[in-house]
Amino acid sequence: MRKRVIFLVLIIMLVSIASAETKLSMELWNRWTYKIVDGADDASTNGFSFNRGYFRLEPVFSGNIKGRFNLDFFSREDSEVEIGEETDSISNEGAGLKIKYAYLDFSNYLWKDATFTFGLMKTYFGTIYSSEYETIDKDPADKYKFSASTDYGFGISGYLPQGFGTYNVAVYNGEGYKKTGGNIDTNMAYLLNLRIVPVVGLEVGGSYVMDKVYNEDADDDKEINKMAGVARFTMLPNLDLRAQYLTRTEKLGDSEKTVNAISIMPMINLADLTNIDMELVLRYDMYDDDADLDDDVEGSGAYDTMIAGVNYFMMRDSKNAPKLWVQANYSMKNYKYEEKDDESEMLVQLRWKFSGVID
Amino acid sequence: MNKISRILIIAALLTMVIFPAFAGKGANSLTIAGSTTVLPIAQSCAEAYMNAHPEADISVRGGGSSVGIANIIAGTVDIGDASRHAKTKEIVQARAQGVNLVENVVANDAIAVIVNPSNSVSALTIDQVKGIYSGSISNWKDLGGESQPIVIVSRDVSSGTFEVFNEKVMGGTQVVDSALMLASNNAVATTIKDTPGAIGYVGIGYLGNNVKGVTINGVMPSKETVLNKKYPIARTLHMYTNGRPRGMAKKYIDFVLSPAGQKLVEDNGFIGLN
Repeated sequence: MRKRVIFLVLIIMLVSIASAETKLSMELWNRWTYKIVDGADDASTNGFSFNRGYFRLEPVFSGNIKGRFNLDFFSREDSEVEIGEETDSISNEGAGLKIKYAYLDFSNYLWKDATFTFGLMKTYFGTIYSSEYETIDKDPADKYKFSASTDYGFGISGYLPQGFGTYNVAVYNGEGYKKTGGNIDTNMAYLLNLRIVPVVGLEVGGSYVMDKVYNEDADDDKEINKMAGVARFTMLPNLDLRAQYLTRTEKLGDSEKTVNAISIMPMINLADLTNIDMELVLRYDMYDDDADLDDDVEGSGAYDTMIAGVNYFMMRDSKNAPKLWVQANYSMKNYKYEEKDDESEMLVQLRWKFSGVID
Repeated sequence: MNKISRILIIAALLTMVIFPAFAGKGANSLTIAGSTTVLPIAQSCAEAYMNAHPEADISVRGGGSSVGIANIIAGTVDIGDASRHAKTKEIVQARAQGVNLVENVVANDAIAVIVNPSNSVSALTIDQVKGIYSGSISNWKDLGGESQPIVIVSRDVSSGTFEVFNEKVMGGTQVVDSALMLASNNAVATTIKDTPGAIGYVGIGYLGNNVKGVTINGVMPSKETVLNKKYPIARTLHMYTNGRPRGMAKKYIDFVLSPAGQKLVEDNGFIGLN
């Protein structure tokens, strides 16, 4: 732990000295979780936690070069546990740390509006890179393990002419930010991502990832193909409707497995209607862990999740980004296999964020 | 999950999708935010408009061009002032969020390079200014002035004025680390006034008796040299709206563009459109 703190202090000092301007920011999530399994007398989880926090440095070296370094920390050993996933405790195991971002952006060197990124960077798959945690639950691609939110690699991002969309091309390790060094597979993952905004208020697009992972038992590479189709509709005032389809196919020899997920998330902004800075969020997810297996048989891990939530914004910054807000979510998880008990969960989370600039 | 819960959730989901969302702002109210360069124009036009139309309620604040455009995208202001053009990133973000950024040009401006009135240097080239701001020229004696260190004053990187200066003068070259990065034109002009060896840049509206403007490539910023495009660090000033201006925003921008509004533009030291 001491080594990590010393490392962090050194990073801060070096970055502050080397860059023209550095933005520092922190965000913290304090959460109360109450989970109950249908038919049970008592809650399986009822407790408070400091679920996530991060410390972020964003040095600006010049008009064309900037970076981001993100150190995530949390008080729960099981902070990565999904909603509804079995966990035996919410006990405090002390602070955990993980590096989430460590990349540099080089803008306008290749061509206009193109940015070359190198390091531990965002994975541009589905909506995982643009998610602002509108629900307390994770983005579907993250939640259902289609993709880690960040990974080591390099890529090029840019804009289509006239603001008609964005593109990303990247090469990653393919195994997320948690694995490095000897733990990673030697095969690379290749990503393409495209978003098109054909008319104001409608965004459509998709992502494709091609990856291989060596399987020791089969002495062969497992081929992994992942695709995401996304759509966002914002043509009606105060309504933001998002939908996403995710699929992952894993092929090893003659065997093949396909995992699918669909997520639909409408949000309505109540600020104009009520003068209260609040939004309502609903999310409906369908997850099928094996498309070739009937959903309602024993062994099936398929389930639906309904989430109803409220985001209440108490303070915003000058650019209207939230600084202090409360999220409350009620979720119901319904397994397709009827013998498996459904689960309900109530989450209330206080998020607070602050930032400053050092020259 | 029981059936009643599921039905309730689905009903709520459908209600949200088909719910007609109505905005409830007053017909005579208008909120403006953004560029500190455009701020004096927006304020004086707001005052004049409200004097002529007592029922109007116009609030104007600064924050910078990025703030103006971010707030238009967020739907929290009716007009976002900007002393630069919207970036591609902002246009894409706006379109995806259902916002059609429309640029309304309201004035011309020049970024004037200024020094303390005691400074004997009165003429610089773009390359010399770039040399100063990149750190390769550090003493006024190298530019024909007295021997004193150059104190570099710049705008903060999020300001529209910095973006235009960075594009037209620096060409992306980094401003030297030792530069003072200030948050407004006013702060730059005040610092230059109080610091003998200082150099800075401001919108032409902030040129006054307390600071000295220098020629750039032999051209002094003025109405004539901006309109005939001889002054090299010129730009247009904008008021962004979501779609073509309507209602109160249209009335206000029409006023800014009217002869009375353009006179206020010039009274504030900026350059009218004609």
